[in-house]
Amino acid sequence: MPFRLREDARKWFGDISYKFNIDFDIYYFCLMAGLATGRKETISTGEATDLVNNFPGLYRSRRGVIISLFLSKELEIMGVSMSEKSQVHKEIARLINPQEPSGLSDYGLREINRYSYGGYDVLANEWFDDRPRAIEVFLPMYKMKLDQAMRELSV
Amino acid sequence: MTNSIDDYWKDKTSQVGGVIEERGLTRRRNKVTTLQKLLKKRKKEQDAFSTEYKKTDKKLKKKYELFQEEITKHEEIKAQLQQAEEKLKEAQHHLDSSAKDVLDDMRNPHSLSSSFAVRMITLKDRLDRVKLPESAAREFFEELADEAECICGRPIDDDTIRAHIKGRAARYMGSDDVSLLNQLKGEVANLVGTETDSHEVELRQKISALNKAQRREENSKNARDEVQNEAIEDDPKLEKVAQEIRYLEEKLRKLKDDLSKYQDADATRGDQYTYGIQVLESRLQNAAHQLAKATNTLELKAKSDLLTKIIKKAHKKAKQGISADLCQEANKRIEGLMPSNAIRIREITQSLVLQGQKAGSVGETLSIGYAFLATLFNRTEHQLPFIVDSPANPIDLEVRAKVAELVPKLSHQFIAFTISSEREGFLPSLETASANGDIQYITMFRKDMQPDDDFNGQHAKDSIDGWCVHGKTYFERFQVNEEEPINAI
Repeated sequence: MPFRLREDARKWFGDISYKFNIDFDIYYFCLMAGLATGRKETISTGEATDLVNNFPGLYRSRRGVIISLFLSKELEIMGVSMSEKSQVHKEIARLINPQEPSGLSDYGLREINRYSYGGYDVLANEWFDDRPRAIEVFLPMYKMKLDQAMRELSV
Repeated sequence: MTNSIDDYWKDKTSQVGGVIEERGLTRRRNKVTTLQKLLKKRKKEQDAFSTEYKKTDKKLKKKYELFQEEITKHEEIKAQLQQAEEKLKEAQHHLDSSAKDVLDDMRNPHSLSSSFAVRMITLKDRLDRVKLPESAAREFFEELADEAECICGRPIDDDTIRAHIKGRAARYMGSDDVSLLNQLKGEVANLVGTETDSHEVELRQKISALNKAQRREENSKNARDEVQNEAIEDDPKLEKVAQEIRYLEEKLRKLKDDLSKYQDADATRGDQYTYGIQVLESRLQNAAHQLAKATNTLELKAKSDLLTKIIKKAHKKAKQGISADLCQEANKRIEGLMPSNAIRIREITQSLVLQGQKAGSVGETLSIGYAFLATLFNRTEHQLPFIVDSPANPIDLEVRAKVAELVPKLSHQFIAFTISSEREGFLPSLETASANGDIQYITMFRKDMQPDDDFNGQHAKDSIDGWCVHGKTYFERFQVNEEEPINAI
């Protein structure tokens, strides 16, 4: 199973996507918003398109940190205590697959895609009033909204 | 081809009564027809908006050029404007580079937020604490269970013991899992390190620099606009162009919004209020499936869908293949034509897309255009002449000479329609570059035109209303006061 990108997300980023090297950038910004807020969404097959089945370009060297962040969020959501070794082992083994180029199992990819889908809803409906028109405006605003969301969650 | 498949299937479904009542069947058939018509209508609307968008964009670019041309005629502000433009350009460059710095940093989750960094390090530490992954992998115990003797020296002579070891082995990770988990932990340790805050602090500094760069760019833009406004106030012609630019910019914004409707993924509205092409395509597919089910032609439908899919895929693949081949060949030609220039074609879509840059200079654009066309001509079985109207008109003398040098390398026969003012810069270089000097010079002009010489019709061929003179001497001498005639090389 590959990473999948919501079609509406691709369209939403349309005005600034030429500043991105690859479409995975769009996926990544949605994913981080989803992981920050813990928002997961399920969408129908036709609403998203396949991207790649590995971490492309610059993200190849970020695979470890992205997967670790994802694993940490998943274990938290599943309510798995880090002291329960067998539970942690079972959950991690379900999410990763060393045979896959992404390092994630089909189940893991399905779940990480759901964070990216949910993250897009956060971006389009909560963090931003309108779609981004300029990268120099989008990036600082994204960081500000991410910080706000993190603060609200920690209260 | 895909339309023929669709027609065949429609014909089949209309012939079959099917298993459900006639009324239900008609309803489903109507649904398919309605959606087909609606989809066609939406695509037509989208095409119309798209064409209008391209036209308006082109007009706007021309107006920008005209504005620049007119404003530089104002000697009193010329230097001031040039300085303001340079400052703006510099500020824009600085803004782009700041934005790139921030984007690069934000691609690191641990830079995005120190909370993310803490999470990653915490996960790694806790996995270390519970000894995950273990130093022994599952395979070790699975192999051990098949041995006659345990590692502690006791015999494994009972199937219960073997089953017990194999059961417990499942609690350990496989060696691949162990290696992957260790790799992930290693990457976290390397990238995040111990100073979990430092990455975010660095990003904040870069964002602050970006905000500053943005303010600088805004100020530079305002300063430039102020200089321009001064000139606009004193010049009604400039004011008119500025008004046209504002009108076209607004029109372009509206057209962009109109176009975006057709990519809308909203599937909650009724058919007549839905504009999203993909949504309508998916509804049509569903309606066709329902109709197929009702007419017992499901298998036929599946086959026709598959065939359509194959044809579309083949078409796409062929298009991509041809595009890639053309790019490669054209790039080879460009390399030969301009060996010291790195400009290349990346892909061919509606137009030629350049590698790593939006546009080239006028000379580069012309050279690429000629190289691309020459590639197309040379791929055919028949060698056709390359005919260009006014090949040197919009370019300055230096570029003219370069373009003229390319011409003999493009095709076997090049026919150019030029006016007398195009000779300068173009003709001498063309003659030098043409190795065998095989150039024909033909001068044609209407009979009601009066050339600036003692032309008396000798050595010239005539038609009902025009003259045609062969030869280089006359070609080079020819000049009229009125509207320009055509010379052909």
